[in-house]
Amino acid sequence: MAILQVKDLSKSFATVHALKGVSFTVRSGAVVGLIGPNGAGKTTLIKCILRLIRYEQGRIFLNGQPLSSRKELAAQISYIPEQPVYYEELTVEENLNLYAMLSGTPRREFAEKKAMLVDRLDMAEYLKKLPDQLSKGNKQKLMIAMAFLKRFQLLLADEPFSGLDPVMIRRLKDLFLAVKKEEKTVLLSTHLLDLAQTVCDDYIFLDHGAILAAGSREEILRAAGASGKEEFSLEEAYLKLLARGENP
Amino acid sequence: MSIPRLLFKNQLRGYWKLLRKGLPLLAALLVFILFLAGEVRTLVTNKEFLGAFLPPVYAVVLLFIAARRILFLKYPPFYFSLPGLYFFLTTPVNHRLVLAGKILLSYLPLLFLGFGWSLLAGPVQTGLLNGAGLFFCLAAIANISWLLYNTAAGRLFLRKVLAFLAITLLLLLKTPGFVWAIIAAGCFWRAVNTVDEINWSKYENHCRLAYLSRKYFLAGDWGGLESLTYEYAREKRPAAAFLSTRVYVTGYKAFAYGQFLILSRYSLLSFVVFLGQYVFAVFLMGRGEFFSLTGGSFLLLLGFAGLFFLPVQKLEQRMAQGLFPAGGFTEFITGLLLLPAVVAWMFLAAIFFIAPTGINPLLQIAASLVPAAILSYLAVVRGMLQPAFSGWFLTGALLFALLFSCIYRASWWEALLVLLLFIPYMLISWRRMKRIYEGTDF
Repeated sequence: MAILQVKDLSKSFATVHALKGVSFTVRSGAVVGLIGPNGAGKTTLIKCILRLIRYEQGRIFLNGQPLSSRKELAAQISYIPEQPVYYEELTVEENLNLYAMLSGTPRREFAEKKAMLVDRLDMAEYLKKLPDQLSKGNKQKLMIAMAFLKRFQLLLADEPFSGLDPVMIRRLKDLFLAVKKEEKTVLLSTHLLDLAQTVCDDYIFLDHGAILAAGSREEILRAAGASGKEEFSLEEAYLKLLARGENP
Repeated sequence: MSIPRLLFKNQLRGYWKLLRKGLPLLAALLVFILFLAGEVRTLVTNKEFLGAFLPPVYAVVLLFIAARRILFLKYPPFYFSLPGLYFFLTTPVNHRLVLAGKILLSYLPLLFLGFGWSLLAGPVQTGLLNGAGLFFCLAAIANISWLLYNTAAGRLFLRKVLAFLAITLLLLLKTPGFVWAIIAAGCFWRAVNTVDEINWSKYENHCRLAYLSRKYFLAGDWGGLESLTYEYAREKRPAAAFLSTRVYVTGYKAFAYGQFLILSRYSLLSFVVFLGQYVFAVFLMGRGEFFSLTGGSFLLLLGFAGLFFLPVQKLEQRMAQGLFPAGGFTEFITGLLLLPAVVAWMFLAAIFFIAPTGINPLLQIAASLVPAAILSYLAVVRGMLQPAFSGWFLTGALLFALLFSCIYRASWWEALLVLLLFIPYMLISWRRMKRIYEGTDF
């Protein structure tokens, strides 16, 4: 069953066509990689889904229903933004508490989730610190923890591995896989294909605001022109699709 | 801890920071407001003056506010903090309720303004609006402004013109306060019920500007503030790519050219502000008294350094991030002094024609070459030696003000004396900047 459907979505900024008639479907309970080079339109697409950006054309359906109110949207989607955003005068723990309360996470569930996230993301030692005192990677962990504290059907993660060390990247991937086990969906935007390959079930390859290919690994390979499964790797397929996109 | 308590805690800590960092500024502001209030109070007790003069001024001021908020609308009438906006948009809170609260809170300054004015004007009203009327009029303008801010571009201009004309008409007809209250309430209702039509990307961008401005101010980061202003002013002006791709220069010329490119991408407003400062400085100097001369020279320097320090500061910031330009310190400083020195000489020389002193202007123009060089050197000092208004810069500024006022009065011996004082200043600041440039200033 599709949790997210995007149909013919277009968005322009002045003379730049950020999204050109983008259409795709995200099936429920999958980790889907939104892959593309810098400036491909990944963040714009995510912000359109979140209705943070007005789009000129197209429709977005969540669980088969067109996006209606912001409250409904916020109740179903959780979001890890590209840049950390937090209350500077509140400690890490206070930020977590506030976000969970605003998200309506029940107290017991919050306590359990918080303990789990603090443990997995190694946050215990700086819970009482102000976020501005932390490194870039630790600020990113705060954003990840906030997104996971909320109940959601779909998690939109915009470059979530940014600033994380290899151990934390591994733990974040484990978190994504745990989400998948709960039949929830992750749309993971990144330009790091090697990382995406270790966690994603499906892929959406985006470049210059247009979709190059979308689907499972096999479907992507076929779209790139492979006849057999092992003819070339996903990375090679990606490069072929990018080259084809530039010289159609 | 509950949601309101956490939000209050964040606000309280923010205000405490503001109080600690900006206490002198706040005190100065308070004194200024009290002084202004006293002056207004004196004016409004003069009933004859008030009866003849104030109502049209009052209407013009309100029309000016309406024009700024509606006809030339650019920024929203109220802001969320950046984290506030993120938490608001990504959690399933009651968005209408939060927005309604935010709008109501934004009325607080208008309430103070409306009733503060009423208090000052006392029994003598302007014949147009009393305190409550003024409050509702301002609230209506703010609400209309918010609705227009979120209107799609296609229909915006016509709506802006119509809204402004309607407000003008209502002011001319001396519409009573309750009508403004009805308009304000109607627009408030509409604003709260169209929360899903808000142009979030534009609003987020403006909230970012407001939030970062406050943040840099609290941190005393003047460089950050000016970089932010530059970033937002530049948004409207596309970079002229042909300038940067057709010229290839090395050494000191590369620094000079880089500086020229940054200057070419300044907003028109930056130059207008500089010209305004220049004209006012020349006006002060033309009065001829010692304090006017020194003050004018000081103002001239502030304007000039404000225009030319940014390219230097940008380089300094990049060096702090690990970019070390090729070329020695001498090439660096020569490149950065060249263009400002030429421009400074032209502007200083022009002063002797705009406000002649009766002394041989050619001699004064020739002598202005030295202060012109010093002026450009001080712009570099301001960019390199942080904070922007450091003791380094202010000492240099004072010396410059003395030097140029001496040259203006043709007091050559005094000018020479100030110049001698400038030598140790220059030697020490030069060495400090060299250490920063070479990355050995720990």
